Amino acid sequence: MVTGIITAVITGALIGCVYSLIALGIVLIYKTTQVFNLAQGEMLLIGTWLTWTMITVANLPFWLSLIIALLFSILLGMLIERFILRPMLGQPLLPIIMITIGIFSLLRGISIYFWGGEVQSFPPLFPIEVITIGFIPVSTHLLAAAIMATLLVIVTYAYFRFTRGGLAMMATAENVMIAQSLGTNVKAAFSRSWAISAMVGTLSGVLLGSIMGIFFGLSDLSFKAFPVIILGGLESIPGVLVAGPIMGICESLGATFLDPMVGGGIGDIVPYVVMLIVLVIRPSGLFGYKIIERV
Amino acid sequence: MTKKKMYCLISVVITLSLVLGCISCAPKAAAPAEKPAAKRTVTVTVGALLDESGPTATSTLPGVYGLRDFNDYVNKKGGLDWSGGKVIVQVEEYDNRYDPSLSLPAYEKWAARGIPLIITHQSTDNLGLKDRAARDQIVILTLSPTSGALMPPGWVFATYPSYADSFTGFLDWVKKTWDWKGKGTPRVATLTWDTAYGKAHMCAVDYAKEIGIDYVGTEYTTTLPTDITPQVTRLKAMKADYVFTQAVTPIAVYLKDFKRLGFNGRLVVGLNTGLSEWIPIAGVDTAAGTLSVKGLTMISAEPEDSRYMKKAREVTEFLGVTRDLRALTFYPNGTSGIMLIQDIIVRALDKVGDPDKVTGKVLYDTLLETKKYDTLGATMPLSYDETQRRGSMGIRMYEAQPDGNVTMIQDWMVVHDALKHYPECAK
Amino acid sequence: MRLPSGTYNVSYEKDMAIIRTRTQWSIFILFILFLFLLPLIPGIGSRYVLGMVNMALIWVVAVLGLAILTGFCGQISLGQAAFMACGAYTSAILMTHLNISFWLSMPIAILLTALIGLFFGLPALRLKGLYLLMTSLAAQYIITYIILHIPALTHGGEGMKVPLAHLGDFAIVSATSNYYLILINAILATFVAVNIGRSQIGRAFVAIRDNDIAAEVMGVDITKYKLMAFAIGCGFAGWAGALSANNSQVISVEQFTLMHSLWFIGALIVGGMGSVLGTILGVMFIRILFEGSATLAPVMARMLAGEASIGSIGQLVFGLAVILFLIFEPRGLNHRWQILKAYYRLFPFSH
Repeated sequence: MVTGIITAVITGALIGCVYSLIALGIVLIYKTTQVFNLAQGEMLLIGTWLTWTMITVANLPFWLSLIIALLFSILLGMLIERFILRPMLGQPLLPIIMITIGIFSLLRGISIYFWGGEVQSFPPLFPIEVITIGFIPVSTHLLAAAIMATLLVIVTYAYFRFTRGGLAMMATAENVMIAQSLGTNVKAAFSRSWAISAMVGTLSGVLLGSIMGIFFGLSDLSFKAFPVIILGGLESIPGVLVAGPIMGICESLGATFLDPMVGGGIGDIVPYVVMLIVLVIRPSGLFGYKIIERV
Repeated sequence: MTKKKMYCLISVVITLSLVLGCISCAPKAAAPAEKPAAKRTVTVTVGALLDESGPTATSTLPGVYGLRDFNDYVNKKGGLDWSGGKVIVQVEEYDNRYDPSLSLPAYEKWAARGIPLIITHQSTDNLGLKDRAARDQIVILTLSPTSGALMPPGWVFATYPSYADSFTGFLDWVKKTWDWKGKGTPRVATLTWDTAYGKAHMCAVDYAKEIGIDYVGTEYTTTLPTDITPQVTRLKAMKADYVFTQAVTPIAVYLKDFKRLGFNGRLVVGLNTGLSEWIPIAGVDTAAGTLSVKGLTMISAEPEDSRYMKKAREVTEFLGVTRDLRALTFYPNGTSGIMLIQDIIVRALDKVGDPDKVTGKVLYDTLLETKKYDTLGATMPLSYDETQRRGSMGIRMYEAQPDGNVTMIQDWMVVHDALKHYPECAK
Repeated sequence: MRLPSGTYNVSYEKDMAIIRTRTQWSIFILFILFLFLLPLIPGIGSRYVLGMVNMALIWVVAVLGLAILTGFCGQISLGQAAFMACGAYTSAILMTHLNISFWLSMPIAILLTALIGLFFGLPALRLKGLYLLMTSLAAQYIITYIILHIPALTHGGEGMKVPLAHLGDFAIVSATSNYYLILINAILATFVAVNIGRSQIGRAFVAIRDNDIAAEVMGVDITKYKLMAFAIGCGFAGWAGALSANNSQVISVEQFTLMHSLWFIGALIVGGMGSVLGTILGVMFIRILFEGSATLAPVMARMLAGEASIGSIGQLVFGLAVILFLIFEPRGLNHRWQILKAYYRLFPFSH
């Protein structure tokens, strides 16, 4: 029983780190542009496909393929921002959500057009598949996801907090006009945020692809990241790292203890129920900004 | 507004509606003009409701390729031979993105035009259209054997056994090949999706008990899990020897977690799940020993000199398309379907002599007369009769080998009819 | 509304009337007549076109609910399809297990869905914008999950056969009879929606949308009206669901997915939020886009000789259409229509 709980907690935390990676990309964009990017899953997928193409078609070594794919994804992010989101500046929330859905559809069409619907695989990323921690065998990929999530969160947090570029991006989110009048290059800030988010997406996608295989269903995983973002707080980067594992643990504990009672599949629902509770009790999440409304 | 303007407006409205009416009159399916002469080329059109860009497109697309290739091949060579000349079978595809509410208008469109046969690939379509098809007398040939649509026998036909049948067939194989003396009673469990598709085989679980096999438990996972530790832990506790699954996309994760947690049970993937594509992702030694039940031949394991592969290569070469045939798991779905359709259309034409007379009812009767139709080894030879809508009741078993290849370990064997014996399955 | 010269409003009723002059009445009556005589027009009256029109009209009812909830009242909901599912399944369950006739089960389904909507609307009292969106997303998933997990009632994921509605002995099963059923309901729904918009309730909704704190300060009971908006909006969804159940005769959760909720929002935005006409135009646009991409995509893909391209063309065109529409006409088709009307009215002047 106790071993069951400990296993569930540890594996759950690791699964949650995978969600954190995806969530990080969405939070990064939201932090700068106040746009909730529903298309993150597809951006992730295209970056992963690009890496795969470089490896299999161009026969480049893994690290080089990854770098090229990252550069491409930066370009993709910037293109999307410049041509699709820039014209939507100042629009209310709903059209912006709808346009990210449009981007989702568009990118899905592109990914199926170029890479088809079949499943492909990466060459193995790590020499060993399993590392045993104590008595629990843990998948190396998940461990790698956890490490990458932590690193990326630290790096991006530091970027936002300590560099001029990052601070400029936060200022833009606060109030675009004031930031602009104080000399911030707002357009560049927007571009940067989408570019960084696309890069983070590609990195997480590559990891996901090596766990589950690369196929177009991967983008549906991004919907699992939404509860993580709400729990952590929409604008909070460290929040993502805290909320991800928590959600993963909830899902895992749910699967361990509730599944036998309900007949299974409750793992899909637990994050949403938790999210609902969070929204009712404390909508800004653990670390998000509380919005004070004035009339 | 003056009276004159009002009359003007009214006449504009009426004209517009008449014009619109005439435009939609235009695309009515019609056989080309009849010539009373002896040899001529006629066309028969069938419809196809396929998910080509939605969630299940990965499974549908290879089948679509098979359908198109084998049809284009015949058509480009001038068509099929019948007693009155040649016939071209046109397949009109419609992408319904797995959404039944999109299928309905397409069905209505085809019904209005008198299309005699519709190809489907989706359980929800099969169930939803079954009654309508019976009323409108349109044959539905499904590439996905939904039990509820195939039994009680109606106007829905399949070319291979249902998921429940595949499970009973697998159990028969276990009974046949298990070392009863040495290892005692075999234990079978399920690890699958918590959806109708995932549970499609569960209605036949009682068969295990009937033949002396222990069915020890059922586990469910989410659609795309990254980790299934709790489920595997429970499977280990159940000491399952075989774990049957209907899930399609998380196979790599299943296999990896089995290995990671030291679970020795063998995963058995169901009818519509591929195996070869998951081997490189899971790892060759992790995947070794995995079994696959198939109602259609597994194209990745077909020897190059088999009748089927030779034909497939001939077709793709003739058409000039490059296909990685061995990666297209569901290619045989499409080819066996279209071959059957071609055959019954030819036989129907021979009976009625005129493409306009090839109605759904004629094709229905022709199907029921079909006995032992050879699909080049893609399935067991297909036979239909008053009580049987699944053309083939045979399955093959495949196993993933330590060298990464998949080989056939059991050639066609007839399954225990689950739909007949377990009324739960036929709902 | 611009009135022709010589027409004066001498009473309150005349001032408030939507259809004011005799010309407008005649056009209106002709239009209604046209709608009722549609099945008789050769070509248009075919099963195919009627089938499409039926689906479109059902969507109109559902999106009208969304127009009231999101368009008038500003409460974003991504769960409209799930509420439709509630209505559809309730109606089907009542008819199957309790043998209640369709004419009673549909109103009950509407009421029940309104109640469920009320429940999921409770978070709206505390949340706005993106957070409310997340709540409705959770509602979409949770409702679908519940439907899938009470197989005794709903047959789980297999889908459920819906008993047909009967008018005496006549079964409403053909495309034409369904058309009349759905048409009457759609006209009724439009009537209700338009009048809600013009009533005190509608004004309260708009006030809440524009600034709910200010509205509260001015005396609008936002608790009552927000919950009412959810109840009405989801009630419409239940209405559409019950009609959809009779139309398709088999219901399953795949007909009511998140993607459907998103298409509803798309139809709302494309048509122009906050107007009933916009809703109708938006639904027509999206349905035509659907049909077009579903029929043309396989054809185009074959012509382009691409193989994997079949599936992608449909999605691509769809995404592109939505994006272009939102960039170039974010106020929707309704706005374009108003401009067109003004152009006609003012021609050759520009203002």
